[in-house]
Amino acid sequence: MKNLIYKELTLSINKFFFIIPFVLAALMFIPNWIFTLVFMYFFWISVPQIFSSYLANADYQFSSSLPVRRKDIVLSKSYALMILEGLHIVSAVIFGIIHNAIYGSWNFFFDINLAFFGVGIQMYAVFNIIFLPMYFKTAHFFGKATLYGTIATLIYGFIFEFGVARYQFMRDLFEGNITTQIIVFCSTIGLAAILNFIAIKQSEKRFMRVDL
Amino acid sequence: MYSLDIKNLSKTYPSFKLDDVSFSIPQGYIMGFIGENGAGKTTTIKSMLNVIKRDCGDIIIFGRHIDEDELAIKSDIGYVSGESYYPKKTIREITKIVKRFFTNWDDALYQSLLKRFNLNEKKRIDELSKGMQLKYLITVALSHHAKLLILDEPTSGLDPVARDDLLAVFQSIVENEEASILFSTHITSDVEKVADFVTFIKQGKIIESCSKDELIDKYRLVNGTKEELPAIKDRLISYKTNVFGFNGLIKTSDVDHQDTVKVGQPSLDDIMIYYANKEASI
Repeated sequence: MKNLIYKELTLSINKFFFIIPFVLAALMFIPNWIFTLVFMYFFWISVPQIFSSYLANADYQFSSSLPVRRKDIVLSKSYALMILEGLHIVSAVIFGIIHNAIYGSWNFFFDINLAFFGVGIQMYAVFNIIFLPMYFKTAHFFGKATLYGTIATLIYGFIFEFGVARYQFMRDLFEGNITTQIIVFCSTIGLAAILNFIAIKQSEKRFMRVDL
Repeated sequence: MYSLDIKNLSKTYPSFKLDDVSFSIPQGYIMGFIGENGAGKTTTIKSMLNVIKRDCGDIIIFGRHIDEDELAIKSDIGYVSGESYYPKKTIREITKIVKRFFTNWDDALYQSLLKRFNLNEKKRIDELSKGMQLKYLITVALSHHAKLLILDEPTSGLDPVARDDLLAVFQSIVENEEASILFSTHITSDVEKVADFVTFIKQGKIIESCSKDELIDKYRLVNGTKEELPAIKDRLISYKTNVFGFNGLIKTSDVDHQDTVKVGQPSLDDIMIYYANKEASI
């Protein structure tokens, strides 16, 4: 398992995708912006390229020549995806802190705060639960899965960004005091963990039936 | 002791069925797995390695069932699918990853094989010829002391010199490493050169699985005049007519001493071709 994750991170996924989270996180410097968009670039740029490279490099043929379990192939690819998502979050946190130091924390849309990052982590989980099981149904076609995942996250992002800008109760909930933010952060993290767990289990189940 | 023992392997697709495939390879021998394109060679190989899910059947490798001990069994197998992967990566980059998966990886052996096959670690996979790519895949398979090599169409697309070279490698592997080899091909002359055993598959069914000599002895090539055809026609597996008469394939046991036709020894090619013509001509 450890070896498969190492393979994903060093051979299968191009280094470019480990650099781009830091480059894209610089978008956090834009004043008064819809910052959930920063997380979404991952779905638009990295995901299609990474999953098309599995095809181009005959990655599953390569994996089948190795002594590995099918279940571990799914796990390693899912973990690698989550590691990249984590990198996007970490780099957004770093640039977000700098943003707040320069411009202050107020934003017309969702502020950059603890609750915002919780919502961001959960957004990745929403994408994962749609994308991963749909992709591992064939371990080949990734277009429809990416499209559905992307649409879901656009709706998800819109709900939070528009809600906070339009409704006071949402602003109070997501941009309230630190205690409220911690509660939101912890609940979103908890929900994200559940969604990711279900996404992996579903993907494993579907991948077992795939003829490579 | 069998290196590989397949019993009643079946897999059904909407337009193709792998039907009750059974055969076995004794340890230390080479088996050629022959059949025309689309006969089910790759499906059989992939099914027995769990690359595609089989409907039923038992796969026993080194005396262990693949479903019970898949990881340990796969560690002892060198599987070469014939497809190259990660074409833009260098040999060194790929080997660095692959060796982590095998506890019995032998670096000294790997280096000596690289030297023997004249492979440069700095070269990218797509810079190698098809023959060299195969040699690299075989190097990887041998460097973890695989006891069973499974090669899917390894000689297809190679020129005669490269094919001959590769077949010599197969023979030296069996002699020096005491490994067994199963290689699928539709180039029967390769099988005639190196294989000890032959398994012949047609439309998903095993037609024959025995030693090469036994297989050739089981059949006879006959040719005769048009007048001689009616007497033997029903016993022929298939036949072709021409201006002089006919040529056909018959089971040795079906040859009658009263037959006036000329009887000769067939090649594996003849056996495969006449079986392929079976439905068309009779």
